[in-house]
Amino acid sequence: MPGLLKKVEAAKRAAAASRSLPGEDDDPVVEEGGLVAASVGGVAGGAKAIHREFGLFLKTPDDSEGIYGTMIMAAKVMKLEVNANRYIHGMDSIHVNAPLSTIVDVPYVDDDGVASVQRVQVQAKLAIGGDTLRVGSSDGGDTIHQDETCM
Amino acid sequence: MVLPLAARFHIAPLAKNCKTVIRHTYGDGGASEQEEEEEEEEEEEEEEEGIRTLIPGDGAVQTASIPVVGPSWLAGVTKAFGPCTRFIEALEAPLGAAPPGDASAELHGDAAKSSLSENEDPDWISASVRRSGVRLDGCPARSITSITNKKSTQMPADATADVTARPVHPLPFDVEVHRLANGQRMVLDTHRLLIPDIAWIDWMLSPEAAPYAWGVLFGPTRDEGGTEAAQGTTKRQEAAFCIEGRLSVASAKANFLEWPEAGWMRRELSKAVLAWL
Repeated sequence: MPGLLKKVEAAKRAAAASRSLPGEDDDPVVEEGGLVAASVGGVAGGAKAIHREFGLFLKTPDDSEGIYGTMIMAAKVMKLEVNANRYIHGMDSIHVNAPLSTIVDVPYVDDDGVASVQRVQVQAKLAIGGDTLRVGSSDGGDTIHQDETCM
Repeated sequence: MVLPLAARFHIAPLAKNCKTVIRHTYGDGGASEQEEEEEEEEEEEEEEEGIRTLIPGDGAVQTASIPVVGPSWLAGVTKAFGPCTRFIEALEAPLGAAPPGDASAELHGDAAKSSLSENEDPDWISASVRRSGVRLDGCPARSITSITNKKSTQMPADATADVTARPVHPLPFDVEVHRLANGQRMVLDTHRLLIPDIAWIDWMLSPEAAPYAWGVLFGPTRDEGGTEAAQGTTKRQEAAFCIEGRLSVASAKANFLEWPEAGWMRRELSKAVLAWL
């Protein structure tokens, strides 16, 4: 688990410097054991990583932007996101869907011997990127996409 | 706690930080000249507001075979989530018509203000505002529609407006809808989902919450002793947990919605909850 944390930390640094898409074959920032730290755009989604072999998209809570106030709350909203996805699945709509997702709380002991828990949201990796965005914003509201057919 | 919090329920327009609007089009769609003129006027207005509108290329290729039948899924959300989704009802209101639960009448002081009396069935938000005695200076519904619905306060209400004449409402803030190659629409980034649910404020002001409010204000802390403290739980803690739980429910109910100042709200509430603990 600490290895994942190191990767996502590297991803965070890389995300600040560059922007790439999780569904494309861009150069990985860090790759070890099939896990790629993804420098995906976004403001509040936390640090992301991709497991190419298993087709997973992983997100860890991050409050570096100070959006949530505390890391606890940042982790909390990840659970809410999963709840939202479950609700969308429950709608069983042909018009809208959401990625399969779940929450994994991983206990671990860091290098200093302190026990802690890392929350990871695991999603199915989809071919989603900047070119598929139709409604909403991926940069905190600076650019807003509109598409009548998606609403 | 409640009143200062409610007093700061001012929701800034979504468009205040928006620099660029990208509209995805799929051909002309048989748009009439009048509609095109209206679009041009709207674009000009947006340019005047400092918002740049981009129409990428000839429009993306629509590969979806799924029929577009309107925001039926939004209607489903509305049905499921109840009062929280008055925002969505507002989104579905015809252009120019006052959205249900639209409290912007108080903000804009138009004719709707006079028609909103205390005895009438109050909308969900202004009811709380009245009870809390706080003037409503912002309207979430208007905030959401503010980007493309700038003319809404100038145009006469037209309940028969065609569905296609509605403005395109962006999802609030950072929530995204993607269209996959197979035409499927995918909702992403439903995190940061704090809606300061008005029902939550109602609850805070209700007799049900009075014991908890008392506990927050006057209950013994852990240091001060008391039965609850001896049992490891104080009234403050109990209230804090209860409030946080309520907040979680509110957030979960409003998974599609997000206010621009939700981050601030979450920080404030987090501080409050943690301070009580």
